Amino acid sequence: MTELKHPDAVSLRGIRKRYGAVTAVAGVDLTIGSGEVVALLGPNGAGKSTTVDIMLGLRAPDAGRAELFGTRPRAALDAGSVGAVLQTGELIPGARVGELLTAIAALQPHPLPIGQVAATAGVADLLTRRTDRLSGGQTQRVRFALALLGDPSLLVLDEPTAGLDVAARRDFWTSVRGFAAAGRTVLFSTHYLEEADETADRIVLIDQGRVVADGSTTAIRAMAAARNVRCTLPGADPVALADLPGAASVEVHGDAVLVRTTDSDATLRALVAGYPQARDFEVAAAALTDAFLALTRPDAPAEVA
Amino acid sequence: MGRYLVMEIRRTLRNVPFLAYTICFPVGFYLLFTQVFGSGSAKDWSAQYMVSMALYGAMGAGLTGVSARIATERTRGWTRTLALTPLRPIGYLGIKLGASILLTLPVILLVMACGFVVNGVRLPVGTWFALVPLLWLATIPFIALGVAIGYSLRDEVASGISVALLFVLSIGGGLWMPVQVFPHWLAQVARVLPSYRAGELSWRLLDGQQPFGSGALLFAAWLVVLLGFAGWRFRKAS
Repeated sequence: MTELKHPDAVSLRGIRKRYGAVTAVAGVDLTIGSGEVVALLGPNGAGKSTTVDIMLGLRAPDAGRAELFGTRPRAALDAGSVGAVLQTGELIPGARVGELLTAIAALQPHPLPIGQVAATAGVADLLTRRTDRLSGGQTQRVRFALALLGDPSLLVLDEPTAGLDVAARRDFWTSVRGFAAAGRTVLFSTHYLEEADETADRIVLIDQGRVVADGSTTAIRAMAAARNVRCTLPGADPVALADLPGAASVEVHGDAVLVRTTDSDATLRALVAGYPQARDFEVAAAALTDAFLALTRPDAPAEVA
Repeated sequence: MGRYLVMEIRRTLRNVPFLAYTICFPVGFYLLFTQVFGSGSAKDWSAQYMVSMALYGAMGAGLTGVSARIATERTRGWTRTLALTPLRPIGYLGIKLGASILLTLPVILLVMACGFVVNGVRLPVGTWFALVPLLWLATIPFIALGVAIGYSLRDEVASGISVALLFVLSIGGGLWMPVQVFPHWLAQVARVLPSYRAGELSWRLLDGQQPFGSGALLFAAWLVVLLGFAGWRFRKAS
């Protein structure tokens, strides 16, 4: 790892990008400190890949500024401080894996030994195989190895497990956690809440080109583990209901009340005690997808501590 | 970049269809048209057709090889992965050019070996040695054309166009059949093509002339135009 004085691995300021009439990124500010493991979580088309491309200097933003370790992305890539696995991109055909790793390592200013990278990425048994004769999971591990060759301090992974089966995904994340355990910074994008939950310390939720929530994995998981408490309450006051213990959001439609809560027991007790006229109680687990949609819905930005 | 160049050459040499296509055709045609159809043909025909087929082979390896490799890597995203390394687009282009020049060597040497061994072509030692750099020089405009195609088109289209151009240029330029047997109008066309002027460099050498006659000016013009075209497409794409 190069010693870089700058504390922030990633700094995005006011990033905007449009493709014709479509706004892909609508003003993203994001700072990632050294040593953080951050998931960029959002549905397909949320602007994750464009954000990652701009972060790596592969695309120019319409507005805003991207810096890695306090410098331009190109300079950080040249210094070998950044490794990345992009969502698309086949391996060059016809090369043997060992040959390919050697060739790319020779381009890096301070490469790691091939053997060490191969062991970390789980490709040690593939070195004599041809790049065009690998399975999807094997290809992805080789691409991961390529990203590690320069001995990066920051690893950026754009939906790295898309299209992999469960076993291949598990192996892949084990390798990533091994890399992060050495105190290095990892930023990965995914649309699987489980992946973000299992690997990241911090989750940045992105939707329609904006950061809609940013918090520790625990806080986001609490949001995701929300329950819905419903009841009938004539003359309900949404502002007062929002003060109920555990309440994350409140919806009132006529007499029907829906309280999304992270602590349904406390919410329910307070509701029964404080509102004797409330009736027809119903408590249900909010589906993960519901919670996810609630968090990523642009008209209801969630505040997560 | 040296390691990358080595990988580039080795992986291409593993590509059996590419080798078959670029080596077997010129060698096969050479033997077919000198041994079978032209049996007992004059030694100077054997020598002239030898450099024609060597040039056709080198053009094939250069033009179709480099255009397919660049177009495929751009279309399928390998160049995006390379963009994450310190390798710059100009370095990538340098590797492609270096590998393409070197990859024309096997077919040039094999066709010449067939000329020497099978057809008994005997030339002064200096001529043999001069032929290799001369054929390399003759191939550069076509490698430049391949680079331009590779940076302009998607992979399948690039392959199709470069194969078509290879046939038009090599047949039209009198590499398959000498322009002397062409109808007059076609011979007039041939004399303008870069492939005829590229072949002329070696044919003149075989005739005991120095390779760069007045036709070399036209060759140089093609060289400049196609290198410029390649440079423009390269800058446009990167």
